[in-house]
Amino acid sequence: MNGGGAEAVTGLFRLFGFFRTGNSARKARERLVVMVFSDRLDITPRALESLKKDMVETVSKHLPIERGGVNVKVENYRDGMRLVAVFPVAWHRALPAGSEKAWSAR
Amino acid sequence: MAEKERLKNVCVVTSGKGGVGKTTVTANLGAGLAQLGHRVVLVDADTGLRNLDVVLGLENRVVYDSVDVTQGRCDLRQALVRDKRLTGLYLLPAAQRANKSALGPENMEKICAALVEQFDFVLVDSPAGIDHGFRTAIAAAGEAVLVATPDVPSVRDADRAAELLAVMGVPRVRLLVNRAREKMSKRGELMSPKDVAEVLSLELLGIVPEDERVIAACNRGELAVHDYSSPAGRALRAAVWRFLGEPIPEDSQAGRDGLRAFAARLFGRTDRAGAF
Repeated sequence: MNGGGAEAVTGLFRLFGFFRTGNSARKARERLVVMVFSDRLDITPRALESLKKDMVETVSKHLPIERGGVNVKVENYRDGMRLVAVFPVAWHRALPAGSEKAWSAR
Repeated sequence: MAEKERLKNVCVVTSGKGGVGKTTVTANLGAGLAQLGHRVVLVDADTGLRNLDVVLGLENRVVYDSVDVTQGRCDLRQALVRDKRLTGLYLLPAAQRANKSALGPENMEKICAALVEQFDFVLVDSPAGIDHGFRTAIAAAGEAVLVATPDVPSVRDADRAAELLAVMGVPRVRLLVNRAREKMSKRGELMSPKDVAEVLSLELLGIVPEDERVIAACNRGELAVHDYSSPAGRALRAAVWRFLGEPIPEDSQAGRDGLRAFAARLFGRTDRAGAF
């Protein structure tokens, strides 16, 4: 392998946490998706944060949720972008088997 | 604004962000097309900062420019500069000492309408940015090549440009990822061309690897597309074929040189025959 020596050295550094490498590309992609979303829809990350707050308020009126675990993000799909919000329900026992979809509202 | 006439064989090369290689890509795509026997004219739309003549090594042959044409100081044919190497390749230079407003969208439409009569392809090199110069450059274009490097600022700006192209009614936009580094992407330290295409939701026209030989070629006023030991040149020739509609698969070796190319360079052979 080309430059194997240098890679061994950086690997050693990585072991000790000098460089945090290996996922900066993923980070770049995540940041971009957010930026592209706010550019295209003309909504700032701060406005998105405020949307998240409102959603948490609204949802917690109807369901017990773990507020700290809420995650609102934008994902890019082939057919466009989606706003994906995940609200962990504050309930500590699993549902009976086979009832995964029993609670969908259509 | 979107209903104006767009010319099928007029293609604008644009990027949003500056410095990603628009001009180099324009010159190489044009030369690649001309090499295959097409008659091609390159239009430098960067009024005030003309560069395409330099990349082509034609800076000493420029007499008139597009502003001279629109202001009637010469006719279109007089302003065209023929390439020193390819008989089917011509350049319409930009004005170097004129205000950007000297060339507007209507002028560009007129020029392109006249040029498509004489040429198979008209490639317009857009200035950086998304303001007046950009709008002028895309005025007549029936398709666009969007150039982006795999970094965050470039991709973000490319997305803005892509949106404007869509709003202005350019029916087809294809992405060319420039300065790709396969090894870095494999390490997870650089977005892959596929990442970039997915974020922008655009069809990939080509992936051009980072290559020092492009800079060396530019220094001499020559083009990488003629250089058979340049990985970027090889990728650009593949992009030319794809531009013409040939389904050339993405060459996973395109970014690497390999031992054979190394040996070729060692023994001074630059005629390493590629697949294209």
